[in-house]
Amino acid sequence: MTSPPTGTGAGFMRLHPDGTASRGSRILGAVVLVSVVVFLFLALVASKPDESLDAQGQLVRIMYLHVPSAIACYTAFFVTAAASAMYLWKKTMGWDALAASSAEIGVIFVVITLLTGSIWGHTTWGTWWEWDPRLTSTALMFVMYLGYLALRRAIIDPVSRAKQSAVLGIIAIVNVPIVHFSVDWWRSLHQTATVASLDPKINGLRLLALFVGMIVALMLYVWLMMHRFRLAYAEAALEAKGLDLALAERRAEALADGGAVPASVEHEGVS
Amino acid sequence: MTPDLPDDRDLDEGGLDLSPRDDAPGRAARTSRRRWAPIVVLCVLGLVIGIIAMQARGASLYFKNADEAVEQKESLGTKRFRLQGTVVGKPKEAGAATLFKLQFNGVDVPVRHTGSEPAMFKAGIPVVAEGHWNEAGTEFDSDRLLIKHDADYKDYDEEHPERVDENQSKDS
Repeated sequence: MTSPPTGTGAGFMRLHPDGTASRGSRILGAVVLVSVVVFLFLALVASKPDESLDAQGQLVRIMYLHVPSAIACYTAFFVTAAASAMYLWKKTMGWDALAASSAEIGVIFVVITLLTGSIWGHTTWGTWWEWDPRLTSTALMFVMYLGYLALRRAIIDPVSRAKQSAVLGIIAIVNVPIVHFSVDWWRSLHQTATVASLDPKINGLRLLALFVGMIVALMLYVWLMMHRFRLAYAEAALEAKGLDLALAERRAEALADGGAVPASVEHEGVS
Repeated sequence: MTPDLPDDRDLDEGGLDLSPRDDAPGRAARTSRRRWAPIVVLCVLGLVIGIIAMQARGASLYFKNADEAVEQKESLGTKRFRLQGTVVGKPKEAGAATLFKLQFNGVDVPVRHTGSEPAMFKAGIPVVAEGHWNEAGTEFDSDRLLIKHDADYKDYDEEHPERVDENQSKDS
């Protein structure tokens, strides 16, 4: 019995010697790298510390990372929900891979949001954590998407996994607007949005640093997605290929045992 | 004709069951249950969201403003709650405690705070104090103090110099 080499990722690397990179991702990667330097200069050097009455001094700079991370995670989770809906409609593995990749990157941005917020809150509010509406709903969002990722690991059958994850991916999005509007709907220790209208409550280089931070976070999200999605897609292809190989092996064994295989099935197994 | 497939499904990597599946009886029942499942899930979801919204809008307010705390003094008794207001006047030290007034909507609440204070605590800053009315209902006994930071990051010293003066006047 002959079996083709099936080391993890071996076929993928033969077909794509560049891994998950492409011309587009390299260009975007370079742009992100330059933008990060510009962002750090604006956020850490050019913009002034906060010297208003509730003066935070240098601590205000945490906002330039905290707010863009939150926006990136909202974006990621909306993409997960949209891709989940598309999967339930089209039933193609690409949409499932897109939903999964986006949720994973979204969770990373939530962690950054929670950590930076906690450090800021310790010094400004006087507490690392407070069960107010914004923080509680954010914690819930974090746990829900961890649950989404856990669900993906709990189901072996690719089609059943994709379907169930898609349903959860759509349900979980309900909480995201709740997180965002919690500070407007309920009394919260957390402040309301600084940039909520065309007349934001921030100006000068501080506004520029925040704005550039948002652009950088979204570009970083797209760049990470390009790589993560390609990897997820390749994994799905490998999984499907592994299934085909296993089927072919079973048929070969059946033949060796002297059983006759129907012509149609034999033809299918050759591919 | 179907061949005799060897029963080696345990040997499959990943434990995939590749044996053909036959249609079990009761398929119709399962299909109808499947049709109802999304509706049940949506109902449960709607109920949960409704409960959360009601809870958050009703009794479990994160804090009471100073004017509400005075208004509801009777019903609050010495029950623990969070009090929100802006610190007016310079806080005074009285032994282990700090004395200050919290104001909201023109209503003042005298606060006796024991414990640590956040670094940013001073006159003109909105804070959230955790504690309860004292027995006589004359003072709010607080043991936890948090700064309520606002969302304003404008350079008022450049654009609105009058605002800085206004805030500083509260200090004196």
